[in-house]
Amino acid sequence: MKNFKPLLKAMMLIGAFSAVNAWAQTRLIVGTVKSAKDQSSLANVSVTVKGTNISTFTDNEGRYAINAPQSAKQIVFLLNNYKGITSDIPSGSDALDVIMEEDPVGMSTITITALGISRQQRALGYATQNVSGKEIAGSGEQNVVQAISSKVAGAFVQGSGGTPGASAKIILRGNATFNGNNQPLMVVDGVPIDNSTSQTTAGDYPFNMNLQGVNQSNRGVDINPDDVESINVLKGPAAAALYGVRGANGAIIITTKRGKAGRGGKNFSATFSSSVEWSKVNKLPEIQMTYGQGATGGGRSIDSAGVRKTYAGVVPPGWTIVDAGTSNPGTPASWGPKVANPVDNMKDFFQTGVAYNNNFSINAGGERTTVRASIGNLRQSGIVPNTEFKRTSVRVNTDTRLTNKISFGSSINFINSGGTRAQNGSNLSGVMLSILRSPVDFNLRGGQGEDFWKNPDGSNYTYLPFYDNPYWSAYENPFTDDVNRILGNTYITYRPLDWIDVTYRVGIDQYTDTRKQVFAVGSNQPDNAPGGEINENIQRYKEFYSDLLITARRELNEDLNLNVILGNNLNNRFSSDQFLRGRDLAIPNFYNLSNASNLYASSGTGRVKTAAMYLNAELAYKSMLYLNVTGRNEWASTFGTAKSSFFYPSANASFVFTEAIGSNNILSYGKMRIAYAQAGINPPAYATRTYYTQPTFTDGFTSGLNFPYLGMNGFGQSNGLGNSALEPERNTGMEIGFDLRFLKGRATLDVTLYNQKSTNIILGMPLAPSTGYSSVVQNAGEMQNKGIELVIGATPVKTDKFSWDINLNWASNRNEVLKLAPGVDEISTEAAFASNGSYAIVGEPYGVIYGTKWRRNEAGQLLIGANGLPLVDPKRGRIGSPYPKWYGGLRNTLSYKGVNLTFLWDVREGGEIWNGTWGRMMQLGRTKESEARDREYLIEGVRASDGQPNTRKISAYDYFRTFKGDAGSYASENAIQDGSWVRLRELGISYNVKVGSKFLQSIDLGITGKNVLLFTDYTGVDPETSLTGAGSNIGGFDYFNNPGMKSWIANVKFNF
Amino acid sequence: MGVLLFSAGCKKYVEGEDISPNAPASATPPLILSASELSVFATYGGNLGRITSMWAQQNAGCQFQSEANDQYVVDEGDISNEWDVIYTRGLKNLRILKNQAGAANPTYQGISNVLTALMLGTATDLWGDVPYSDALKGEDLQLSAAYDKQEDVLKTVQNLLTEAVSLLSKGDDVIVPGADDFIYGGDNEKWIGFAYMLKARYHMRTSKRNSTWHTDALKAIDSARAYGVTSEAADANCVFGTNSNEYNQWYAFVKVSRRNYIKASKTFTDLMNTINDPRRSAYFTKNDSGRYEGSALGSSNLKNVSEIGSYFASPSSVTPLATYVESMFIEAEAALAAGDKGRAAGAHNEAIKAHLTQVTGSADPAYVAAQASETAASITLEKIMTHKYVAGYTMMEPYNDWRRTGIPALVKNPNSNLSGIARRLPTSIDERLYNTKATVVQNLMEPVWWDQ
Repeated sequence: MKNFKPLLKAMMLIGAFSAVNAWAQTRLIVGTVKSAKDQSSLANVSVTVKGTNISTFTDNEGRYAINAPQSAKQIVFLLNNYKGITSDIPSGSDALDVIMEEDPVGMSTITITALGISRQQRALGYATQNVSGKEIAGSGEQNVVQAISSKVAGAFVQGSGGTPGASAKIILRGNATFNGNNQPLMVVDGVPIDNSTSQTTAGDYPFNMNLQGVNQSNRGVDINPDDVESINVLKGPAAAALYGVRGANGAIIITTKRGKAGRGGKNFSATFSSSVEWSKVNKLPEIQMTYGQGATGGGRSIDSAGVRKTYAGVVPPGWTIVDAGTSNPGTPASWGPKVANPVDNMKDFFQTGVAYNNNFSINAGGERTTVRASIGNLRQSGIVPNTEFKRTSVRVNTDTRLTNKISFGSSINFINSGGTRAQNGSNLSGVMLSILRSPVDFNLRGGQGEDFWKNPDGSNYTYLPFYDNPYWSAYENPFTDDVNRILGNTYITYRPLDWIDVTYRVGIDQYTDTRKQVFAVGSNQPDNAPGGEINENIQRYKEFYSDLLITARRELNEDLNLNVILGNNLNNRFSSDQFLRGRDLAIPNFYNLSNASNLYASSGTGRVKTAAMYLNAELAYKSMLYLNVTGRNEWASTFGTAKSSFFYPSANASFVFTEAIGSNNILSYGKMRIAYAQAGINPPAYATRTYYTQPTFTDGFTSGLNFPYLGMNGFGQSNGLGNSALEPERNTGMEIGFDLRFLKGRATLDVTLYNQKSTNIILGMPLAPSTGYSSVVQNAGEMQNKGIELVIGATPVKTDKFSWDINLNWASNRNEVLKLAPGVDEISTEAAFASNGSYAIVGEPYGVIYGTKWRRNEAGQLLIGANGLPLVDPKRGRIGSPYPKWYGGLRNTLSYKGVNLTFLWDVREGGEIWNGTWGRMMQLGRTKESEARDREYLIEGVRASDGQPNTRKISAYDYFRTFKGDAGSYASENAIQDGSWVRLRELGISYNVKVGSKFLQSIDLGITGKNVLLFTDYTGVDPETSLTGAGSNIGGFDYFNNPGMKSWIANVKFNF
Repeated sequence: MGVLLFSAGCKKYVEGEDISPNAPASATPPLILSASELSVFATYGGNLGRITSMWAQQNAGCQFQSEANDQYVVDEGDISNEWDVIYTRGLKNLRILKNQAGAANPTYQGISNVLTALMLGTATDLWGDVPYSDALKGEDLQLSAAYDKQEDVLKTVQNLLTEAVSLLSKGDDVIVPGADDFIYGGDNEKWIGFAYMLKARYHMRTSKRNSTWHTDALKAIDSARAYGVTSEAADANCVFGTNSNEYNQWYAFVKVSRRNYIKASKTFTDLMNTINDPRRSAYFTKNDSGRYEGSALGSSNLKNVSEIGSYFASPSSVTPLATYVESMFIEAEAALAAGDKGRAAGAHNEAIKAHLTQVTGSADPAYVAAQASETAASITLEKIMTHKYVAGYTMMEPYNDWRRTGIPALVKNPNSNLSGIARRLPTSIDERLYNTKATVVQNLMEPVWWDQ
């Protein structure tokens, strides 16, 4: 703290000189701002000379000093939760003291919108929703995206499972495009940052890596939630005018905490917080604990000669139902005999994860310079053994008002993050795949000594030589990642005239993600390298971003204010990916590429550049009516030579009608807003031409054949056809909304109706292979999102000591694919499993799950074949939709003196999941249901041959394996399940202890429960699960996904 | 003025970044040939061969997708990868190869023709009517392709091969194929022999439809002999290697990626046990009891059963495309049909002896005495086709021949809801969804034209 003083003094000195310079044209108005309630001084009140850009803030004593032009008549005072005031400058005096009244209605709340511009909420003609830093912190989530979950109406957040650092996906108002990015832009302090989720994929890997591998992080995880002041969610395409194409799906505007002039007479303060989190698995599928390993066993009907047969109607004489099969270690199935001492491998496997999170921040503020510096460290171990996620973040934010004309500042954030991750999904090393299939007569911990997942000779101790013991996967085959990232931006604002500001801001986002996956010698994954494997992957990302903003503010007359922003934006994004692989390791457990006798490398780079000119004009009539128009012309490098730029406009209006008709005791504040916005989206990089590539060949079962082959290289023309005539994709949105506040703010209602339409959608349009190509990049298709967003608040009880607040947010979105290419009604949106995929179908919502179906008659009854099993429709089709009908969050907060109790319910209605795990476990006789195997089953339906009711009984073995399970002639529609849930997402109790000493002001104590209750009919793991993660547009796939977590967090925070 | 200046600057800022640094805009004939041949290996060595081997009951699907395939459950999505490889990586690049090679490089053009005939023939064998005359026009933005009748496709196959022989006979190439040709290392004579083997195969294929097929087939066989199809040196094989991206696909499937999915079929092991076939030790692994015994039809039994052996399923085992032995069996069948029983018996005997030597290193005299000593009086179609079935393991020919001749007699998998053994593959889902002109067939019992 001592070190700061000389600097601050120097700053003040410079300030003094410039004040002298400015003396001639202006006069210095000084005064204090106090609260009407208790006459206390109000700090951080925004003080602006009306009709100009000249503004300042009050200091911690409530004092301000502002250089106003001689012509100035009024000064505007604004502070959140207080009523804004416009006061006349008294003639003949330079002193202006004001008293501000509290504003429970929140009529003059300020919101940070696009480009970091603060705007009065009442002026906004489109829907935004704010999440405070306190709510973010209270969620206990370490991923800012996950932390928003169930707090914002219309924000669909999907975590991908409970492994530390796993990605979370966010979609605002539904999917707007087919193959491209559907997630909103993430912006930190006015500068976009990368929030992508990328897999490590070898150049010769022919499948979608999202279906297996590990749960990667979305890069937004690098933001330390403790640094977040607030998050503002811009839901529609309104942000695009100012952020360009990447704002087409909305934006998440994160504002970090900045230095403030100190409180209580100090110009220095600090906080230290520490928390411990204990996590456990929250839901696992139910398994049968009776029958052991075996393939030819229980639940079969056999005739007197022991031959497996099925029969119609009455049991023929001499036939029996076998419930004890023969034990067979050569199968993953549990159709074997009854087991005397069953082992619950699943329960034993998951451990208690522990996370330690420590944050220290200092805040120093003088008259002209404020600084906030923070350091945060998170160390989180997962419920899967040997998994963890770590993050260290150092952030320094500074702001300096050098003179009244020049101010500048910067933010710099260094982050180191990463961890150790476990294999997931469709993967012979997958943790869940191996656990859930493990028979009850095999103890996964039964190996040798401490490394109980190994045999005495060091090999994989497993119930089937084709699956890794999950402990082996966790301990011997770790995936590690290490991200070093710098996020930084700096700005300078110069005010050449009282009514013009010129701001130039430069931001960079640069990171290197160094990943390493090892597979020990003797592992079953990757399936082509029983000799062990090392994968090294380096992903680099570099983004340069700059804005030049010229802001002009003019008072046209007493009632009419005009505010114009003219901007230029440059953006340059570069990414590179280097992949190195070594197979067949000479020395076990030595993981350097020199140890491999078979090496492979692949690499790629990509660059996208955009440039734009934009205009934003706002006209305000009194504080009643606001009109806002924007236009942006954008140039993008991805069009090739055919086209270079495109334009898109927006307009919105806000009408505070209570200003016109007057407010009354019931309706304290009422605003109507209406907005139209269009966003253009440029094509993806390098889509304008058809290239030659090293082809990969696979049938989906093996890893196939690839180059270099037998020492030769090979190239063929790519399956993907380029298109030099691409037009920009358009996303056009209309919305109308009301913001109503009743009973002096005791009840609020914010409702928004929207209708957004994507046209000219750019997609990899699948082609019939007989054309020679499997896809062409094309402008084809239209899609619509219509919906309602509701935010309701109420304070039923409010006394001096006790208050009860209710906050509800609710949203429902209807997505419909309106049009695809001529003659095409269904397209696959992303490579998935051979058995089922994710499709866009005209007339259906985007991303429906597509797969095999049963054959049915017109009445919808199953058609049953001669063997008693239903017939499969040779034609696949839609079998489910992963998106919910509606979803919402309900928060209740009770405060008594310093004690706060809050609980947040999260409800999701609808949204189907393909529970491939369940289907496969049925086949293998592992589900609890398949325990009932000492009887026979009759499938309800009609005979395909004559339409009469089916009477042919089938054995439990056939029933569970091929009807319920996914063996043989099976329809994936069987595994579609409702993923609805009600969960107590957050339960928090906190207490603020006022200490009031000079050194220590207060202590916050809290306990948070995360995800502690879950009600769902889903038979798998926690239905908030995603096989494919945030890096994919596929939703609703569960195939041996890692389970979710529930946790308890204890935290303490010292405020110095 | 200022805005204009900015606009010009913006345009300039984004220029010159539209071309991918990661992929070339063109490739040379040797590179394209290597890529094309790999597409052939993937097609012949992979899933199609596995499915047909199960339907011919040489192998048995015992688990997961293979168990379903064994019950003739193969739907429109299950074969889309294979269809895609045939058209987008095989036939398309073969056409590009022919165009790029141009008249200056007739050998590349001829090779392109032979492989095109092979891929197109395979497609039509399994799918019946397939697109060709209207296909591969995506670059001209013709995004649908009408299907040619199988009868016409088979004519195209013959025409391609006839033209191939003339192109391959020219020589004097600017670019001479060598190591980029995995199959024959650029040996023109062998390619011509291969072309004639295929001509014979596709004449034979029309045996149900064309009464003079045998004359045409024998003519092609005679030409093949003239171009050196007189020993296994003439065999056209998919060649594989010891790196994991080069593995023989039977090995990759059965021993590496999908162990326990497919076992040997008891139908097949019983047949070979009955005739005490010396090739069994190369064909199969022994079961725990030390016997060669496959999984019984429909039992899905994977315990204590044999599976495909190291001769066919080692990392670098070859998978045959067309062989001398096959050509001898075609000769035997055609000669028998033509009434020349002596020639038929001779070819039959030679085929078996050659294959025994190829597989076991010698022609076991006892076996030869029992199985390969047929005479004009004793030779029958049953004997020829049964032995062709045995020698054709891992090829698709046993399934094709069974459809044509019904030999060996097979019964359907009892767990299937189908009325018999499947006689074709369904149209790929990608054709049904995206090709408005596609002829969509989903009934696996609907025979292709040559099977009617």
